[in-house]
Amino acid sequence: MKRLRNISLILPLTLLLGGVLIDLNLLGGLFDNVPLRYLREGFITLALILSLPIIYNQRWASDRNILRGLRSLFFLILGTFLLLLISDLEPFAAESISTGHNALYGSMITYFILTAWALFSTLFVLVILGTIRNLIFIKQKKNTALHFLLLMLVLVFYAILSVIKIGDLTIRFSYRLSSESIGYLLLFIVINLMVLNSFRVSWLSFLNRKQKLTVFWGGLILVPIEWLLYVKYHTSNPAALFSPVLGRFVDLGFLFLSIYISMAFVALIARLPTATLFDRQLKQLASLHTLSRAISSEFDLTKLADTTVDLALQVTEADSSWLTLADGQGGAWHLVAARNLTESEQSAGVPPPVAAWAVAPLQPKLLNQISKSPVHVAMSIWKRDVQSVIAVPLRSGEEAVGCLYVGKKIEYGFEQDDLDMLRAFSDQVVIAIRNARLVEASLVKERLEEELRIAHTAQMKLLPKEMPQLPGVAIEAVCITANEVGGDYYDFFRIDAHRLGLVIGDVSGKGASAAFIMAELKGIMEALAPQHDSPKTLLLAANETLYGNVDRNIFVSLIYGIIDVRDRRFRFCRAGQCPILLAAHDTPEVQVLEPHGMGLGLDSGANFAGAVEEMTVPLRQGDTLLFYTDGAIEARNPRGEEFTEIRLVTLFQRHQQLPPPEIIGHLIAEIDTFVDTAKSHDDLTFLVLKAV
Amino acid sequence: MPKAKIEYKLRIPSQTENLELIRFFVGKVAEKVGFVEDDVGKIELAVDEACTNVMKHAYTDTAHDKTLDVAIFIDYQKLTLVVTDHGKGFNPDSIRPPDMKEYLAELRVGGLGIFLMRTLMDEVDYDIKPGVRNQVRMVKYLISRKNSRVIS
Amino acid sequence: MENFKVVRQDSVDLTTLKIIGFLDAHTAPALEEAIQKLIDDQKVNILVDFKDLSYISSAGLGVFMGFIEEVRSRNGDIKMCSMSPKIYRVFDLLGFPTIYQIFDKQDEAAAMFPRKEPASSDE
Repeated sequence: MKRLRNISLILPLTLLLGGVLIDLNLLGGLFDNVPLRYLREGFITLALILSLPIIYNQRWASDRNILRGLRSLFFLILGTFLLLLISDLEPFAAESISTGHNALYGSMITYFILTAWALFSTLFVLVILGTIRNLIFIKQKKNTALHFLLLMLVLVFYAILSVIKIGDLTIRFSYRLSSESIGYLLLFIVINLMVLNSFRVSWLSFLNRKQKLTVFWGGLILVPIEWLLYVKYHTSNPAALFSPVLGRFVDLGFLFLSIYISMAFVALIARLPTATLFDRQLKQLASLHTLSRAISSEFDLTKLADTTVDLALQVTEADSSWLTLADGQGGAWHLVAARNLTESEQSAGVPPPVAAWAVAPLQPKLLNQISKSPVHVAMSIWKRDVQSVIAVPLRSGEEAVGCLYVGKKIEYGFEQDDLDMLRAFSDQVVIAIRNARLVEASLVKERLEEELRIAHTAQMKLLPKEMPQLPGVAIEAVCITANEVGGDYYDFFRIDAHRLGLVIGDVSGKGASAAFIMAELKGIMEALAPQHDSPKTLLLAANETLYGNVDRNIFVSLIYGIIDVRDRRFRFCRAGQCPILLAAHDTPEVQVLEPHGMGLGLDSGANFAGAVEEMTVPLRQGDTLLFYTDGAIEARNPRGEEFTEIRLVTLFQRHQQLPPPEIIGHLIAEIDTFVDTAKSHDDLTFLVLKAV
Repeated sequence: MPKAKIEYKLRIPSQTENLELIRFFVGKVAEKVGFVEDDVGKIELAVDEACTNVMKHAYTDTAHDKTLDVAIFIDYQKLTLVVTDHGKGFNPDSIRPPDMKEYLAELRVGGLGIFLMRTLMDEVDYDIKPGVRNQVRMVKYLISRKNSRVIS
Repeated sequence: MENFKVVRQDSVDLTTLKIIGFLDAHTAPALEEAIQKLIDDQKVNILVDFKDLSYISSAGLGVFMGFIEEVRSRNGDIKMCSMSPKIYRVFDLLGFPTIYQIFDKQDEAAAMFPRKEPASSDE
């Protein structure tokens, strides 16, 4: 918008000024009025200067648009030349300037043609300069802008000089400079600046080979045309007739254009021989870039291999490519990806002699005449049409994890360049393969762990999902499984409005049978709990049921107790399980409750009854009970030390005031820190009960 | 936690008719401490036995201060009962020749009482100073020491 | 004395003593008196019903101990029934269940006493 506004401001201004003055002139023979003429020239010059932004406002300076710009340049010049050919500029020849102005100005048509030509050529030059400026400014360097600006300024200045007569200059050392020599000096400066600016042809390097060729042919036509145009215009310049300033400006503009495109053309010719090479390098870089991008995001081994053979084929311009990977045992080579291999070739795989040749020694190899090599027989049996091949082993340390091959149908199809390219490729590929394999391994590991997890989910399903709500007590329980031995178990049974039964136990033994016993136990407890007021009688019944149903090598130990919030007491039996820790609210000491007892299922009942003692403890507000299984005290640190009861007791003492979930949190955190990097072997279970 | 040693004391005429009152007093205190119902019953019975014994052995034919002190000390995890009689005490010499049957019955009762006390309470100490004072001290832990141990 | 009461119930084979309230060193003499009276009345088949007894101490136990030999020497017995768990516990502590027959229900206890021969016409 701004640009249009600028231009639309300048143009009316120009036309207005010019028009006014011309009218004045037409008012009969005032052409000889020198001051007016100077004024006129002044206005026109001003208009020119104000139009200069057109040069700067053309923006297409990016390497993608070079060709477009060049094309428009081509057609502009060609068009102007043709236009010039078909129109008659003779009347505007320099000679006729001095004679008969009236004759010229007499005819309105002539006048308009003149004006049109003048304005057109000025605009043309401005656009051309803008185009060239864009070309120059591709790959801008430190002084590019400065030099161009200088050129523009000197151009305008020199143009203005055409109307101003400079008298002789007297310089200090009394050396006289005639106005003529000043003029020549300035011209010399101008031409130098033009040449200087014409060195800026680095946009040529952005053209690929094909483009360079196109530009070459175009240049071959354009350069002579442009010089012709210049010469023609130089001799008969309509703009000069209209205004000397404009005339000079346009003239110089054409000159600069000619110089510039000539220099560009010469530079292009100089670059043509290496165009191919240059191209190839570009292509290779691009391929490497694509490959590294593809590789860094790809963890699927197959897709990775596919991308590799694809790119290898492209970059070496080969006829076929294939990739083999070693299987872990270091024997067979599996063909994992290929381009342009037939079904039978793929299923046959790379012949062992070829594979052996490829990896020994562990260097990339180039074979341009297979027919004359030892692997000739093997190769021709497998793949007849390959006459030259490159094999690049994929190295990881001192081993080859695979091999990348490309083949061509003709002999001497590959160069050292291709080999280097593929070598760079292979390094990337090895890294990617390693990553992909790691990811795969971790996935396998994940799957294994998943299976273990599923096995334990069954066990975990036996544990209550929520803590029971009993007014007067806060309970929290947690079980952290160790994925190895069969596990810990806890459960709650609501007996009536003021009583809750709880059990915490542990089934030792391995895997499935332990899990099964646990499920059975859960069923038994659920059935018996509502029926027994006395934990002891319940355990006697449970013992009887389990006895005979349990293998010799499975040991069930548990604590069963009943919390009575109305009578404020906890009544329990301990059948071989770890003792309960009690922290009373009014004392710093911790009491260890360990009534006698023995495990379930080991005895028919006669001894069991005598061995198990029932115990009752009061539960006053703030008293806390901690139940735990031996996973807690038997947890080992990296040095092999056990956590032991005393540590647990000390911890419990320290945190007994907190609500049950927080107590458990602290216990687990401490044990975690203690165990550190050592593996855990047993489930960790805690149940905390607090009277509130 | 500050040591919370609280003392409750009851001074009451040393008559068996006051046994009911004493049981009630001690039972309420035990409940307050948080003993389970069974244990409260045991403490009541124990103090009954102790007081009965003290009352019996304080028997003297001279009228003296016939009051009995029942002191309860609450100290963390335990309750201590101290029953003291300010009577002259049992003077074997001053006793009138007893009826043998009655004497034996009394002794047997006495024996039963002591046995009970030792079963009901965790610690029992008798301190009879004939002619001076009779005292029995009993301790019951909130949690039976038979089945538990303390870590401090 | 209002806290302890003995209610005597005579029947053909036995006499039932319902003891109500609490039995301690203070109230024990009342029981003693009642049992003594039974013995004096030649009633040696004694069933003590503990249903409404809330408390017993060694004094009460001692009363039974004092009479049991005599009663048994006269071919009688003191049996007990309907004890609350609390009362039973005290007996249990002292090993009394081995000395006395303690029943849950009164009829069970009653049935344990020897039946008297059907009365002759002039009884």
